[in-house]
Amino acid sequence: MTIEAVQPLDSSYGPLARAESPQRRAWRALRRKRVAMVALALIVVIYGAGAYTILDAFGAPIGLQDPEATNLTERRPVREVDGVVETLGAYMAHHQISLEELRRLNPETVALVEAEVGPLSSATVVPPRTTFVLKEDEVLEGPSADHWFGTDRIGRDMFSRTLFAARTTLVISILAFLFGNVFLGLGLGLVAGYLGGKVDNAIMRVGDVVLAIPTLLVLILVSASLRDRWTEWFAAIDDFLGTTFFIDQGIDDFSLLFFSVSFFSWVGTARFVRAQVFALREQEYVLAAEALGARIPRILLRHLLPGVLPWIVVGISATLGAIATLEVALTFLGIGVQAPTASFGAMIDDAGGVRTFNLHPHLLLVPGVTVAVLIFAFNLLGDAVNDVVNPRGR
Amino acid sequence: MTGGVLPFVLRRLLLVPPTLFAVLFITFAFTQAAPGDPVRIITGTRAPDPEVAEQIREEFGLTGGFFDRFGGYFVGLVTRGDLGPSYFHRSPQRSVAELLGERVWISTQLGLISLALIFLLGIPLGVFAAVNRGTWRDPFTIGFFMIFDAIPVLVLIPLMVWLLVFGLHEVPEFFGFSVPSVWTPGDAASYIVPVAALTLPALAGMARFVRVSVLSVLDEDYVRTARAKGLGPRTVVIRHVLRNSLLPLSTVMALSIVTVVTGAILTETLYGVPGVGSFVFASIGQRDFNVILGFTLLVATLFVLANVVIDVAYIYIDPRIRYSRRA
Repeated sequence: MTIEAVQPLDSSYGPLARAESPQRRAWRALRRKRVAMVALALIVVIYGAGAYTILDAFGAPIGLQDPEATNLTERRPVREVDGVVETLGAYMAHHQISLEELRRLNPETVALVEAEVGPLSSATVVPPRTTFVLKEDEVLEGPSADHWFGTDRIGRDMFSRTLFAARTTLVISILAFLFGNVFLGLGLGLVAGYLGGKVDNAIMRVGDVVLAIPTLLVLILVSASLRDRWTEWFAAIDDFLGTTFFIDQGIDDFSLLFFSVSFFSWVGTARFVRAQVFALREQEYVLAAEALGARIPRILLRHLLPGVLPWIVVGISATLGAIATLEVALTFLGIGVQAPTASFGAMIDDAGGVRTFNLHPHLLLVPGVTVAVLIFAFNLLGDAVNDVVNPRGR
Repeated sequence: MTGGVLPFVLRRLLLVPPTLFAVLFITFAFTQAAPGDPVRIITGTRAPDPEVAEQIREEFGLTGGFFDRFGGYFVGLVTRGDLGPSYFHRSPQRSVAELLGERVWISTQLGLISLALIFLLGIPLGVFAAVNRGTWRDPFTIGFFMIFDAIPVLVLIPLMVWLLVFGLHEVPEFFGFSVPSVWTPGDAASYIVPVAALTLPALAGMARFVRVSVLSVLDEDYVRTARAKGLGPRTVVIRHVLRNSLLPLSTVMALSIVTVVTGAILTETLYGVPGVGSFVFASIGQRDFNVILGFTLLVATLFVLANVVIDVAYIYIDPRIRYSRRA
């Protein structure tokens, strides 16, 4: 260890290096935790996949199968245009299928036709109303090169459904976090903690009531009473704007879900923030701000918010994991995202019983493992962040 | 300034009726706001005979405005413990209180066994993790049980049943008795799957809570004193650490109750347990709002009362706590 001469504090040496902020220090401590980084990577992969499919909502090509398209058998007859039967070449061009593929899918039909008109080529005119199979059923297939995660019971591509399900979870949990924890929880907690007195009492009593209502059950009632109206409102917005975007993208389902989840999940955050603000508001700098005549919104946002914000960040992981869990249960109860929109809950629900699982395990394992990995990663990351922030538990 | 115990208890109790009243009002308002004529749900026909419809409205207390209906429901609930008639179970007409009452025992059994197991297994796990802080055993213990927390019950139960029916068919006698793949009345082994499904996901949370609590006590001076005077590690943990670190546990008790009760909806449905949970699930499909409303009130009451009991009990458990009105 070498000892260096202490430099005198002279302005000619430039400003002192800035002290590392607590946030940066926490992040560095977190970076050293391998488990936390693996968890974060898993979350980034699953959420990233979900975020990627958002592009689809804006019409960008994303190179995935339509998650709602069924890969069922497709047959098409040869067309007659003005009484003239189209050539096989025109038929193949129209349906974008090659001669080899046509032979492979229709051995019997091809044999019959060839017996009648000779070897097939693009110029061949086949007997009118000959029907070829263009695509075979791809139902309940296991994982393959075409369908990485297999297909479900109506032939939908499970890989693309998984990605779109990740999108559903991503959108709902982020919005529910922002609206429930940040807007309602943080906002009401700040106000209750700073103003105290009657306002505090009112907010906390409302919180008591909200906390006493079991979330799962009240969401059932909310869904039963509001869903139809909610959909009507969004249909009205669509009509007004002359689009079908909101209904097509299931914005009505998503928003009802995150709004109702938010309204019944803000209490924990609000109570926590309120307790923190109780301590902060006694600090001299708040008194100084008050003495300078700062208005309440300014004190809340500029002076108190920065003090509690790190605690909100710490809670992100647990909240997002909890909402992912809730989505699965809500969809099973029929009050989550409605079919045919892909979601983990819907995929698990579609997987069927134990007998189906024995024959086609991928139906349950694909969504089950994905969502379990996501929730597990959130819990691991949340624990690691807690360890970093509360050194006592280390 | 220290307030007396009695004023605190009284203040705490005085908050119960308004809270429960507000819960009732909000949930009742949601059932009333549901679109569609309840008479249609009750009769199951699109256009019931107007005279019959009028009769049914009378019978179900659906006449008058919102506050008339709410008043009727409230008076019935407070004076007779009446949760209203079922919309679906009509021949013969059953009341919600009766229907829930018939099914509540089996669910209570499952819930109590699970709660007991969550505490009996979760506490030692948490202590084990805390005592092994700094070794691989600490994160591994909690991490292992976090796997069960992460798997949705909707996946966990099919997997368990599959193991029993197909996976373990080589071992017909599982721990001495065979576990049925679906709820079988009179077969004690039927309890295993639902109890496991209610217990396993909750263990990680409980163990984590206990771990943090134990760790915070472990650094106290009196623990060091106990060690210094030569007590064995086992004695120190059991006699000195555990007693103080388990105090905060009572605060999670009420939340655990709610988790187990609402968890019963999925667990009972998936395993075919004829309890309150599966009944509520069926009622959602049948749009039998009175059942859902009744069950919601039941759970909310349980939660609020459990919280009061715990808060009051805490005064006696932990003499350090002083309740006082904040200035």
